Amino acid sequence: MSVTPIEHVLVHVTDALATDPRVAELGLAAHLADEDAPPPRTTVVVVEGNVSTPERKANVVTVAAEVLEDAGWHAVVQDRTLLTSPVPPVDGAEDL
Amino acid sequence: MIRLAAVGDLHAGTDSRGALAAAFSHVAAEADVLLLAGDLTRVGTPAEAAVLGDELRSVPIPKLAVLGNHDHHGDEVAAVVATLAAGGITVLEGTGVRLEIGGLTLGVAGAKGFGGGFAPSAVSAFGERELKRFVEHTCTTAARLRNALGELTGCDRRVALLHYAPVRDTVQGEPPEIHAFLGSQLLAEAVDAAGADLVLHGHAHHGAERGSTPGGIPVRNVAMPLIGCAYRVFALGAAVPAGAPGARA
Repeated sequence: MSVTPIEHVLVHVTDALATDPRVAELGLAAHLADEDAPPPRTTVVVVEGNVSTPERKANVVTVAAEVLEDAGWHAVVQDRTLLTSPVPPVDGAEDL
Repeated sequence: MIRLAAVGDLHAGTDSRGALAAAFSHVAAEADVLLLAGDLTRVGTPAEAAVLGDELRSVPIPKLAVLGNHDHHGDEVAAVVATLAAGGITVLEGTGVRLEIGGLTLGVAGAKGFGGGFAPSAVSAFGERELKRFVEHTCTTAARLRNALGELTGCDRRVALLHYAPVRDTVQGEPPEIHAFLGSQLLAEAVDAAGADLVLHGHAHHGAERGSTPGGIPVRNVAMPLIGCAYRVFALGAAVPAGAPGARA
């Protein structure tokens, strides 16, 4: 059985990060790290973007790894997402 | 003077309890009304809507909202709207609200909006039934917005509240491939036809904050991931009489 090309799997990883309720962050991007590294190399998938709670951030690697494993890829997932939370504004009003 | 606080894309989840209230604790001192530009929830469940209602319950100014695509994801729109209403948040969809603020009347018309893109790359209602339905939904929500703005006659100031972007200006920074899913020029056409003093929207997390419609109406993208804080504040003074210096043509 052939393995699904990683380019296709990364699309499904991004989709899962958006739709799986454990993360549900629409703006995350998954891509390969060290794409120019010489073989043999470990497949490393990097997830980047903003997440809004620690719980969601904690599930990024789990959700991404599940999709990769289901597709036959035993990759290392690196979570490079940034945790963001709302803070009061410091700027004044914009006059219109 | 009318002061508006506005933010979109709060994306409240059941794990957001306790994470939002503090950021809004002083909003009533800075603004007369809080406008929420959609994507109030993560996946559109009443449980998430209840969290947002609870987090903003102590905000003692009117709270008006439109829904976003995330709020539709759970296919529980009616329950989400009812839960938000119970939490003191009024959801607008093709409807408007008048508020008396400091001797002025503010009209806020709201609609979710939808995609379709911007000239010269806008999608046309041609071909497959699915694509025609996509564009028809945008046409419908744009018509609702136009009607809602048109019914706000006699207001000193009018604001259009959207989730999707009405102009390309404020989605710049997002990949061009997804611009058609971030907004539609039909929304700007509706605003220009009906008239408004300000358009607020969210959805484009990586877009730009400022733009204007082809008719010159200011557009502000208040998606929280973009503005980097809990809300932006806008001040609208009394309208300049037509024909006076500074009046909008």
